[in-house]
Parts: sequence; structure tokens; C-alpha cells
Amino acid sequence: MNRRTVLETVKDIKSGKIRIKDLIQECIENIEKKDNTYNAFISLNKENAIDRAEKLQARLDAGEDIGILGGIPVAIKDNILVEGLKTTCGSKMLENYMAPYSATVINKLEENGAIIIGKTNMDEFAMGSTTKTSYYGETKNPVNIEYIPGGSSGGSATAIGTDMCMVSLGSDTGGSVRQPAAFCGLVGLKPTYGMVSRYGLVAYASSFDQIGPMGKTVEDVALTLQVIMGCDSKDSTSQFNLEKDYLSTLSKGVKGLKVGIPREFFTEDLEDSIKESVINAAKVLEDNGAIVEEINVGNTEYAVMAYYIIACAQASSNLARFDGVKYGYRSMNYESLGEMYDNTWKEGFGEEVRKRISLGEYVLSSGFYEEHYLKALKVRRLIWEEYEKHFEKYDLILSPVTKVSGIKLSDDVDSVKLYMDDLYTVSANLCGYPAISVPFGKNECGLPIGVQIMGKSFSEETILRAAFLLEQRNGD
Amino acid sequence: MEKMLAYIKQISKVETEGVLPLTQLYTNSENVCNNDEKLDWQFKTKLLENAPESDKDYVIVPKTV
Repeated sequence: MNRRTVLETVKDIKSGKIRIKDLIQECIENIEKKDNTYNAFISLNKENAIDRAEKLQARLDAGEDIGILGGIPVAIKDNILVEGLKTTCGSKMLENYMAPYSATVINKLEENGAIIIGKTNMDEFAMGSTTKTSYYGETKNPVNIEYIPGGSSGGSATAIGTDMCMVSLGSDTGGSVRQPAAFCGLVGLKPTYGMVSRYGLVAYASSFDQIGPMGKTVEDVALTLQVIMGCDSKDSTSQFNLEKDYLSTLSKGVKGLKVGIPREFFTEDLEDSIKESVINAAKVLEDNGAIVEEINVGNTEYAVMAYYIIACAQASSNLARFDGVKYGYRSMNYESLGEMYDNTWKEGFGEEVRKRISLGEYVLSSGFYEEHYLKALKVRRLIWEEYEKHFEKYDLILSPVTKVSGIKLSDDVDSVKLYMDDLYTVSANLCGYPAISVPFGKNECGLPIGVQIMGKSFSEETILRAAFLLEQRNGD
Repeated sequence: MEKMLAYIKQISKVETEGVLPLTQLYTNSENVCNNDEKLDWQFKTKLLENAPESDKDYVIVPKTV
């Protein structure tokens, strides 16, 4: 399975060269063989997946169209609801929570023939960039097991990298699809805010959260995006019902496109090999007819601060529902209602989640609201205006995804440093823009490097085209 | 936590006089009201199964008075 793209596989399934059940069995065997080492999955959908494979095969054999993802095994981050499967969000709080309905993206995947193979590991409630904050243990990088896969969608990345599935869904609140994609040598897309329905996604920071596809190739990601996108009456922030065929425009190239590279992103702590990859990517774009120029983007150093203030504030509100009353974990150790709330919170959430909720409550509290939360919303506008100004002149912005190309599992990285490492990814969330991470080059240890291409809202077609070109030239 | 607070407090250096807060990206968003439809009983069963404690059709909550 490791060399097959989704499109090739769908073609082989349709021609009868591959039986759907065999493909699913292959994934399950890979999971059984490898997941004790990698820990990519929290739960599996084994029996349902085999049953669905048999049903889809029967429909196909009867001459029916089973959809553009017909028979493709897909893994789902464990904060997206799949009816009848557990949704833990990587937390003890939801250890036994059984999803009563499916997210819109799941319905869309299934309507198009995809087979849900299981739910993947993640940082608890998507708060983290290592997948080490999961209650269910850390996930390992598929390229080198001594390294983290990134996060928070680390399980979704590792599942693809180890051939336990073909594509996966993650969620991206501040880089949680793009950063693990970069660390694991995969393609990861954060669509424009509103492009993909959030109905059935457990909320972290509602004004930033966006579900995004991950895959081995730009083509796989484009195809999955085509399936999951679209307006949904169950998510009032979802936008137009665009009918797009991204696959047909992938090879259009970048001739005439204007690409900006922010000078501010080449900070002293940016690893040399990543700097080199971005410069090489710029050369490839230039050699293929794009006009590449350096640009200045103001206030970038404050983007991470604004992001964390707003994200934690929204998280403190969203996670207040996990109080031990209606669903989820409830402490057994209490004598009063107040004590039940307190102990449920302390026992049910991990340290990182408690820290972010506390920070959120602090920045929203009387006397600190204006100084922090309101200020952050104003800084968000300044950053958005700055990018809007650039997007009047430029089609794309090219940048690194991460400051380093790998972090060892054994490294005890300071949490503030980890937050600051989100410098390149958070702007897309603050402004709602689409951004993709595509592998381009490797460091001296053979770890993959990702470069990021960001575009204005709803410019997925253009960023996919540029990413497709870089993918073809990767390693030249 | 202290390090985190010290870090985010640096945001005060940005001059934001006269800048409006950006609370939402799209101004065309509208609240959508779902139809007032009766849900099937299965759904209720699923909700009760997710409750920390339940009895028949009810979620058991800690005594407050």
C-alpha cells in the first residue's frame, strides 16, 4: 500500500485489481503489527470497517458507483464524532464517551465511499504540538521512532506514515494539521475557516478550529478536501457551497503568480536546513514562472501571544461543559457539588489543559479582560489587516512550518518555547486563511522538512497548485 | 504558568489605540435555527449512556440542596 495514491487505489478497486476487503485487511494487519510501537490509534473500527468493505464491494460488483473515495481507509482524529465509536479527545474526561451522532465530515466521507478505520491519538483536547499530552500515551514519528510526530494531530499523521490508513482527518487550531504533516513528511492542509463544517468537532477555540485533511500526496489531500468541504446548516460559520474540482487544476503551475516571503520569519532560531528548504522552494517557484519577493509583515512577533490569549479564552468557555454532570468523567471523591466540580476538573483533565483553561479564565476575568483579551482581539485585527494588504499584491505567502525539523521524544522542551514555535502557523488561524504544509527537503539526519504556502481566503485551488509543483520537485 | 503569563503580557507593547477588536472573520454569518423536530428515542438512550450516572430516563446529579 505504501506506494499507492488514493486515486490509483480507487482506480484499481474499480477495475477489480484490488478487493476492498483485502485493502482494509492490509491496514488492520499493519495496525496490529505496528501500533504497539507507534500508538497512532486510540480506538479501532475493525468489524464495522470489514463489514462496510464487503457491502461496498458487493455494490461495486453489482455495477453501482460507490463514490470517489470508494473503499479508501480513512483515520479520524479522536475529537471528531463518529456515531457508535468512542470520542475521547485524548482525555480521561471523555474516556467512555460514545458519539451519539456523526460529524458532517464523516457523513460526507461515508457518502463518498470512504471506510473509517479508527480514531487517532492526539494531544488532549488538541492542546499541544507533540501528541505527548494525550492521556493514552505518546505517539511516535513514522520516520524515526525516537522523535515526536508533532501535534496535536500526531496520531493522524503517524497512521498515514506507517500505512495504517491512506488519508486522515485532523483539526487545525494553531497548526495542528500542518506541523505534524511537516514532521512526518506528509501533506497537511488547513482549509479556509468556514470551508469545512465544524459540526461534530469537539470545540477547542471556536474562532480558529478547522478540520483539515492529511495525506501522502497533494492529490490525496485535494481529493479529500473536495469530499469534506461545503456549507452546512448545522455550522453557522460555514460558508458558500463551492463546487470545486481541485484535481483538474493541480498541474496548472504557478506561472505569473506573485509569492511573498516574510523577512520576519527568518528568525535566528530557525534551523539552517529549514531556511535552505524555503529558499530552494522559492527558487523552484521562480524557475516555474512565479514572481517571488521578500516582504515585511508587521507584528508577527505578537501573533503567537494574541493566538494563545484568544485560544485559551475560548477554550475556557468551551471546556466548561465538562463539569462531570451530564456526560464524561465524574470524580467519585466529593461531598458537595463544588467539590465534585473541582475534583472532576483536577482528575479528568491533564496538566496542559488545566493550565490553558486557567489562563483563559484569567484573561477573561474582570480587570484583566481589556488588558489581555480585548488587546489580543485588536492585535488580531492589525495582523489580519497586514496580511490583507499583502494579499492585494501577492497570491501566496511562502514560509517555514516549524523552527526545527524534529524534536526527540526524550527532550523536555519548555512549554513557552513550544508555543513560540507556532510562529509560522498561527497567522493562518488568526486570519482564517488556508495554508498547506508540503514536504520539501530533509535535514542532515534524514528527517523531513515541510514548507508552508498560505493564500487568501478560499484560494485553496492556488495553494494546492503551488504545493503540487513543489511536491514534484522535492529532492531535485 | 508564571512564565506563560509573563510571555503573553508582552502584548501590551503593541499600539492599538483606535483599533477595533476582530471578533469574527465573516460579517455575512447568520444564526441558523434548526427545525423543532422530535428526536427518536434511540438518541435519548445514547445520551443517557454517556451520563456519569443515570436511572431510567434521568441523569443523576449530585444533591445541591
